[in-house]
Amino acid sequence: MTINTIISDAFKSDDSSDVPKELFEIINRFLEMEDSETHKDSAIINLFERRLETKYIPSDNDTTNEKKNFLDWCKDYLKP
Amino acid sequence: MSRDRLLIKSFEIKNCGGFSGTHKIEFSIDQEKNFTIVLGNSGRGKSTIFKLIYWCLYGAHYDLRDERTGSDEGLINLKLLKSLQTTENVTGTVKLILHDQNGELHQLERSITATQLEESSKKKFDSYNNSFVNAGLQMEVSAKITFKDKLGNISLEKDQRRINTMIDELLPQELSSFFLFDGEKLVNFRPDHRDEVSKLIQDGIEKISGLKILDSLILHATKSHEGITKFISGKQVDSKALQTIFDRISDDKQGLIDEHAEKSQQLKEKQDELENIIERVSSSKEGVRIQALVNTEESNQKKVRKDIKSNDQEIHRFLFDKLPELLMFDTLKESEHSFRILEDYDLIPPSITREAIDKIFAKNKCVCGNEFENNDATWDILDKIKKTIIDKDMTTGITQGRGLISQMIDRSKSDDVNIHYKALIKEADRLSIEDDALTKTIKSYDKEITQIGNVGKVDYKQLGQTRIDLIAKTTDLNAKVNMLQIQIDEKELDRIKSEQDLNLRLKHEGKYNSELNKITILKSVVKFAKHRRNVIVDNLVSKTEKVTGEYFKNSVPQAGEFAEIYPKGIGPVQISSNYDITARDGDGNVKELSKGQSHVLGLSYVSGCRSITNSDTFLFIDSPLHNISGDSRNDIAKILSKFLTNIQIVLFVTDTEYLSSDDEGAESVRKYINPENKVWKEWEIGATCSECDGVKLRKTDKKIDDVSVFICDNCQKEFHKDTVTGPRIIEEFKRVV
Repeated sequence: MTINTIISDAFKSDDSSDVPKELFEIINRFLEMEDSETHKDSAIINLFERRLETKYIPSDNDTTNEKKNFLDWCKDYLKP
Repeated sequence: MSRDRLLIKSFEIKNCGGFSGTHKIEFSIDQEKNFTIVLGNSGRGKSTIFKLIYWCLYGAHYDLRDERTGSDEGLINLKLLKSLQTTENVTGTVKLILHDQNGELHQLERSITATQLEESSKKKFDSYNNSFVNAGLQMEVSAKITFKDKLGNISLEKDQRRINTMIDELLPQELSSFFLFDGEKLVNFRPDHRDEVSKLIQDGIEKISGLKILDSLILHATKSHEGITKFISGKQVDSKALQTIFDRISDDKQGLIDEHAEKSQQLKEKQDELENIIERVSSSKEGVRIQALVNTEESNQKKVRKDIKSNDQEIHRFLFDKLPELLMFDTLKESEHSFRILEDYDLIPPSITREAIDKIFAKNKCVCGNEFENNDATWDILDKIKKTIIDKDMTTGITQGRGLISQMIDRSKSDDVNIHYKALIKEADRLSIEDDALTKTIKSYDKEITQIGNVGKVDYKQLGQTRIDLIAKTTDLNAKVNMLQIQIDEKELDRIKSEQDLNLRLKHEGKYNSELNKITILKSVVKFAKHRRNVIVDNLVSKTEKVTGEYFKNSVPQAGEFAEIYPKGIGPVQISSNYDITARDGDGNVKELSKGQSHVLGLSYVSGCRSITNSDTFLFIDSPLHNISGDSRNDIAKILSKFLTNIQIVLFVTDTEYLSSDDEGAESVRKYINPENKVWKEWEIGATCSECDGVKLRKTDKKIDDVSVFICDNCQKEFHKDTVTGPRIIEEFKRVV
C-alpha cells in the first residue's frame, strides 16, 4: 500500500508555516513505518522511539541549537 | 497527471457454482469501449460469478455462511460433488488475469478440491466450500499467482498468506465494496436507511483516502508517549520546588543572622555604656562600696542560676526516666490485684506445683503437718487447686511473672516518685526565691547608688537611673540575642536537611530528560496529526460532496428540482460531519427522493468517491438496475458512461433490466449506452437442458407467475422457475444492433 497523496500532501513541509520541518520529517517517516505493515504494534512503537532518540532528542554533546529549538517549539505548541 | 489503472482481463471458472467444465469471460481493457455486460436471467449465476471473483481475490467468501445460514450450494458444482464415489475427487477453480496500464500484472488462480474419503449418510457444514457437504468429504484449498520479480522475470508464488498480502496491497479487501459493488446497496441511499448509508460514506471517505494509516500513526504515537509516561511515573524528579524551599530557608537564616548581628552590636554598645557607668560609679568611696556589694551579689546570683539550670535538668531527666512506669502503674497494680485474688482463693499458691498436690493426696498430710481423711473438705479444695494448675511450667511461669510485676510496681510506686519529684520541685522553688531575693538586693543597691547624691561633678542620681535602664536594656537584648541564636541553630538544621534533600534530587534530575523530551515530541506529533486529520476529512468531504453533486445534478431525473452546482448554487448534495448524505433543493432544504433518484444519488456517490483515490480501479456492479424504472436505469447508465470514462466497468444485469424499453417511452439501457461506442462485449449466462446434453434452453414468450418459461428445442421439454435444468453455459451475446 502506498500513502495516499491526500495524506502525504497534508504533511508536506511549508516554508510559510511556522511549523518546524522536523515535525513534518517525523510524521512522514512514521507514516512510512506504518505503511510497511510488516511490524507489530510494539515494534512500530519501538521504531518511533528509537527514531526520536537518534535524530531529535538533544544531547549534552550537541554543538548546535537545532534540536533544542525544535523541542522548545513543541513545548510551546503543547501549551493550552 | 495520469492515474494508474487496474483491470481484470479475464475470468475463468471450472466446476464452480452452477457451472461444470471450464467457462471463460473476457472483460474490456479498452479505454473507449470500457463496458462489459454480463447478462442472465434470475438464478442463472450472475451473482455467483461476482462472488467467485471475490473468493479468487481474497480466499474468503463474499457471503460467509455457517451451520445456521448454510445451504447445499457451495463453491464446487453441487451435481459433481454429489456424484463423487469413495476415493474420487473434484476440483473447482477460479482464475483471474489482472492488468495494469502497462499490461499483464498477475495470473491468480485459486482452487478447492473435494475428496470422498469414505461413504457417509451424514452432512456437515464445510467453511471452505461455504455449504453443507457429505460428512465423508475432505476439502483442500490451494492458490498460485504469477508475478514479475525485480529483474522482470515471471515468478510463481504458491504460499496463500503471501498471495493474500500481494493482492491486499493491490486491492485492499476492506475497500472491495468500492470496486466489487453490490447494486442492492443503492437502496440504502433512501432516507429510511440513513445508518447504512452513513457507514458507507464514512468508509468511503476514511478508507479510500487512506486515513487508516494516519489513525494508526496517531494511535501508536499516543501509546508510545503513554507508555513512556507510565515507565517514568514516580521516577522523574524536578528540583525546582526543593530549590525554592532551600533558598527560602537560607534567606530566613541569613535574616536571623543579620538581626542577631544587629542586636549583638546593640548589646555590646549597651554593655560598653554600662561598663563606663560602672567605672563612673566607682569614682567615689561610697560608689566603690556599693559596686563591690553589687559585684558580690551578682556573683552569688550567677551561682544560683547555675544551680537552677542544673536542677531543671534533673527534673527533666527524672520525668523522662519515670514517666513510662508512672503511666503503666495502674495497669501493673490491676494485674497484681488479680494475682492476689487468685492467691486469696488459694487457687495458685505460688510455690505449689501439681506434683506437690499429688504428694499431698498420696500422703493424706498437709505441708503444715495437718492430717486429713479422704472425705475431708480439704480434698475438694485441693482438687480445685489442682484443676487450676495445668502443669508445672505454667505454675512456674505465672509465679515468675507475678514477681516481675511486683518489682516494677515497687520501682514506680507513685509515693516514692512523688517524693523524689516534690523534692526536686521544692529545690527549684527555693532557688527561684533565692534568685528573686538576689535580684531585689541588687536592685536595692542600684537604688542606693542613686541616693549617693552629687559627688564632685558626678550626679549619682542620674548615673544610677542610667545604670538601671542600661541593665534592663542589656538584659532584654541579651535575651533577644540568645533567642536569635537558638533560632539560627534551628534554621541551620533545617537548611542542612533541605540541602541534603536538594542534593539527592539534583543527583537524579536529568536521568529521564530524554524520556520527557520524547513525550513532548510525541504529544506534538499526535496533536498536529489530529489537527491535520480534521482538515483532511473536511477537504475529502467537500471534494466528495462536490463531485457527487456534479454527477447527481447531471444525471438525476427532474434535475431542475435540485440546487445548482456550487458556486452557481449551494450544491445539490450535502454530506454532513456525521456522514449523512442528503439532496437539497434550490433553497437548501432537504429534498425527498424517489427510488430512482436514490439510486442515482448512490451511484453518484460511489463514482464520486473514486475521485479521491490514486488509481482507476475496475468497477464491477452486481444488479445496478434492479427494481427501478426504465428512466432511472438510463440515468444510472448515464453516470457510468458519461463520468467514469476510463474505468473498466462490468455490469451484471438481467435481460429485462438491460434489454427492455418501457411503456412510458424509456429506451432500453442497451440502446441508451450504445453498444457500438461504449460496450466492448456482452456475455450471456444460459442454462442447458437436463435431458439433452449441452443443448441450450430458449426463452419463450410464455410466463408462469411472471417468470419466463424456457424450452429445449431438441426434446421440447419446458422449464419454468422450479424445474431443474442442466449445467450453466456462458456465451457471447449474439447482439443485433
